Amino acid sequence: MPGLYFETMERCTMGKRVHEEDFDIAILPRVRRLMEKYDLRFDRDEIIPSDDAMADRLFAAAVEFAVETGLWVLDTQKVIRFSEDEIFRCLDNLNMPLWFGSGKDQVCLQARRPESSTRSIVLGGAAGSSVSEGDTYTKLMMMYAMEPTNDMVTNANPAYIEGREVRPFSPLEVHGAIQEVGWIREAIRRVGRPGKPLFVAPGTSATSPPAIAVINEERGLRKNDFIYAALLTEMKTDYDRLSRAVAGLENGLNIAALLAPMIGGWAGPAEGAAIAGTAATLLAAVAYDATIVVNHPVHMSLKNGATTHPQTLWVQSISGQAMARNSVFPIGQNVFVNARAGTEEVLYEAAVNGVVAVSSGQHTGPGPSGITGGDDIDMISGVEARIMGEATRAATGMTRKQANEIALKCIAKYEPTMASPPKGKTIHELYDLPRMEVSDEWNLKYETVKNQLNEWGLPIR
Amino acid sequence: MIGSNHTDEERALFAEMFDAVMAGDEEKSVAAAEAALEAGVSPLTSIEEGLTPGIREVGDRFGRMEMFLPEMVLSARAMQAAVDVLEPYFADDESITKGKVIIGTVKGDIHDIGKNIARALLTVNGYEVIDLGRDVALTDFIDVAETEGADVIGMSGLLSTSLPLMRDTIKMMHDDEVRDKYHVIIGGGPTSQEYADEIGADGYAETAFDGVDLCDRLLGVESN
Repeated sequence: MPGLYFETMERCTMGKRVHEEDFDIAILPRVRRLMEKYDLRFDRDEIIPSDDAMADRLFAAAVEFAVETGLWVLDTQKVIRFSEDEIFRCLDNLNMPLWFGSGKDQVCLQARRPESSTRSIVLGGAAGSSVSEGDTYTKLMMMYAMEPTNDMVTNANPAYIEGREVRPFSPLEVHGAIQEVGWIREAIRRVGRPGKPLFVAPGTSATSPPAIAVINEERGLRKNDFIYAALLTEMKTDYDRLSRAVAGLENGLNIAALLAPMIGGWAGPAEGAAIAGTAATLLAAVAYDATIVVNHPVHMSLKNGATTHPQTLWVQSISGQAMARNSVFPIGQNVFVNARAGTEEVLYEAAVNGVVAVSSGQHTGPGPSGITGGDDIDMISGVEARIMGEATRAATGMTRKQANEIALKCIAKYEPTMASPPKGKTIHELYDLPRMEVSDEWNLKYETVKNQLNEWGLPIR
Repeated sequence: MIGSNHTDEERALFAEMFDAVMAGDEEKSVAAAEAALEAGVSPLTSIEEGLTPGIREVGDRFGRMEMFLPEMVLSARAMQAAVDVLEPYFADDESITKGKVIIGTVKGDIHDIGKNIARALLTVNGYEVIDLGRDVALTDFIDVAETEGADVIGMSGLLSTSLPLMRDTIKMMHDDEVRDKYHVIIGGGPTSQEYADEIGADGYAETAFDGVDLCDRLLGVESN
């Protein structure tokens, strides 16, 4: 919203009313036309494309699509439109690099390009995964904060708050969000990293009041931390999400705009999702004044939102390359896994996302996590984040061709079980949790996968 | 496959209906339905030989990702428009609807693509679907089911905070003494069979396709 702050608010109410389904149905013909015009093609053998020209064509297609489509507003059923000049004025005036956190925990967010040896940001955490409240939650956050490759800490979703289920719009939702961020703050202090920047979408918070309630210098999100404000799929927003962005911005926080283009949904195939996702990135930069976009393409066939399907990895790679080659605007690649902690499959999934992100000019995470709930609690550990971060660092500066070869080998390890992923074990089974020591069994699997990645040319120490 | 006892003219009309549904072309599907009535073809035969094979093919192609959600929505609209033309001519005991499903994403959750896919697939598989949209109050699920005489209530959600609202809805149905009147099913990212069992739902659908099978099973109707 720089320069367009009040314009964005005002444009929510301008123009003709557009019925939602008409807006949705108009997307596919547009992306099909642009796929043809700009010759965009998914290639299963090139998950990380080395084709600079295709990345640039995707960027051009996304600009055209963003200007033509705009952002539909749920509350008013109007479309916020930005011109090409307005989009480019925003991108051209971005201030990079940016620093976050304090003391020795400071991290620098730099503009990166595909194959760049510039250090990327790694965001370790488990947003979306249900974790027991209190000590288990705090211990998991301590694990993320202790990982040397991990730059910022992202939350998980407490399964219960004070032993109770959390309902949207309830007082417990506000209490839970405050409690949750308090545990993260306590966790980073307890491992001697109190200056670590936080990157948080309170897991107990479906609505904006609790998200805004966690903005608190003493025990919540501080100036220069990150708070999520999502876009809705595809190319939509609402007052709730825009209000989170305004509250964050006016309190000195950075906005992480989350978007989830869907392969098989309104934008059709992988190429269509890449156009819609990149266009949504451009509009989030303007409408939300986002510091970073978290790109989370989802595949119709995977219920739990995993980003490790070959097509979702391709969308992340080519969208990231398009933005990195044509702007300094940073993209984080959300990492959602299909298998659960305690399996070799989950480690390959975590690693491949890191390799794809960093070689494509992006940043890794938040993640690795997955959508869980109900009885599916505590199926996560710090080891997945460790290998994601290590793979990211090891692949930094690698050519896309090399990275692609490793990515395909990782995919071959978990793809056979994607339809029915191994269930894994809980953090309580995989650790001596009070001491935060990894079990021999889980450590052996980690070492096995690490050695395999090394043999494939990914130099993890 | 079109039955062999039809005339060439009838076969041509069924093919037009099939193509119109595949193309999501309401104008053509309506025109073909009207032409079939004029030619003396029974409305049910038109549906069984022309429209239903078309919509079934759309569903299959959607499953193989050869067609996408907007195309399926348009096909469902084309099918419905043709059915609207034919329905007034049904005999009194004829019906093509398998049942009525109330569907929505629970309060506080605005993630609705999964629910939209379920709605489209249920529609193309012969269900009358009343879509309450996203962010739906639990009382609305019950009130609309009562008003509309629904067979199934389907609740969806992506956020883990959606789960307790599914439990609350079922509890309120017990409190209102209407629980036994409806089949209640759940779906979406954080849901599971275990959770469905825990809260006393009648079923859980892993995917939107499973949702159709589940409704068929619960209502004891034949799958397409």
